Amino acid sequence: MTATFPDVLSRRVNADPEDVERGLAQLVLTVVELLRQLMERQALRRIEGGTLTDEEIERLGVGLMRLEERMQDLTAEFGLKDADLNLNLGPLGNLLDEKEG
Amino acid sequence: MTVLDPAASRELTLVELVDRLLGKGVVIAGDITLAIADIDLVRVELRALVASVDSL
Amino acid sequence: MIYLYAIVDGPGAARPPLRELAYGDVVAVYREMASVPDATVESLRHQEGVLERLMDQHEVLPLRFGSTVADEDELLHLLATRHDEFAVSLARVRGRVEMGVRANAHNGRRAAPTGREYLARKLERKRVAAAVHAELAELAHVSSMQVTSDPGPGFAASYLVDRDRVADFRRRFDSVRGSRSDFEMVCTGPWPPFSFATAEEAS
Repeated sequence: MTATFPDVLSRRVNADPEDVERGLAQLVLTVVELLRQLMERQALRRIEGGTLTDEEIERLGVGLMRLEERMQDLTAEFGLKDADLNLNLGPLGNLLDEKEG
Repeated sequence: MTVLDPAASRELTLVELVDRLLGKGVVIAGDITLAIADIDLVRVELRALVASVDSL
Repeated sequence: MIYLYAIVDGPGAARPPLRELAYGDVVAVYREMASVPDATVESLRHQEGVLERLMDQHEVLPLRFGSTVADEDELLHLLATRHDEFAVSLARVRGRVEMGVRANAHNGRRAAPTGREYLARKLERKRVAAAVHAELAELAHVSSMQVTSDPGPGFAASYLVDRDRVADFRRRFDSVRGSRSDFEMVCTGPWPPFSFATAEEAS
C-alpha cells in the first residue's frame, strides 16, 4: 500500500478511527472473500473433472466450509454486510448506497 | 420464494445499470476519469487478477 | 472537452445539446462539457436515458460512462483508427437489444453435515445456474454468462436478442423463474448492447 493509503481512507469515510478500521477490515475481508470464491470455483472444477479422491473432497469441503463460516463471523463482527464485500459490483457497490427516495 | 419484494427488485435493477454503464461498453483507453477512491481501484485490479487466474 | 455517449450507425441521431461527428458510416454522438460528470445514480440514469432515445432510431454502441476526448480532431482520429472495429460491432448488434438476467440461489445457510455435502450442494447450484442460463440463451444470438458466488451461487448474464423477440424472451424468463423456486431472479432490459459492443466482450 502506498503512503497515501490512510489519507484515502479518511477522505472516503470520516476521520473517526473506528471507521478507518472498518474501511481496512472491509478491504482485507474483500481480499479473503475473493480468494475463498476462487478456491471454491477451483474445487468444484476439480470435482467435476474427477481428479479428487473422496478423502480430498471431504477435506477441501470442510476447509472451505469453515472458511465461509469464519468469513461470515468476521464480516458481522465489523458491522459489514455481505453486500459490502460484494465482488460482483467490483468497486461500484458504493454507488448503490445512494438510495434515492 | 420466487417473487422479489419491490425493494430487492429495484436494487438488482440498479446493480444492472451500474454494472453496464461503468463496467461495459466501448472503452477509449486511458481517457476514463471517474471519481472513485483508490481503495476501489485496488478492488478493480483484484477482480481482474482473479479473473485471469481463474481461467488457468 | 468532448464527452462521448455512443457510436451509432448513421446521421441524424443527435439532437441538441448532443452533436455528432461522422467518419464514413460510423457516427459518434457527443457533447461539449467542461468536466466529467460524477458517477452518481442520477447521472448514470440520465446517460442511460440518452442511450435509449438514440436506440429508438439507430443501432447504438454505448461508450463506457466517463469517456472523453480532448476535441473534435481527436474524435475524428478515434473514429478513423477504429472504424472497422466499430462497423463490425454495429453489424453484430443490428436489429438486436440486450436483455439482462441476474439470479441468486437462496443460500439456506443451514450447516452441511460433511465437507462433501457442502461441496455437493454448491456443485448442484452451479449446475442449476448453467441449466437456467441455457434455457434463456436459446432465444439469444449471443450471450455471456458469469457465475457469481455472492450472496449465494448464481449467475449474471447478458443476452443479445432480436428486437422483435423481446416479448418471447420475457415469457421464457417468467416461465423459467416460475419453475425454479430455489433462485431469486430478475430480468432487465432492453438495454443498449453494452455487453456486445466490443469483440472481447461478445466472445
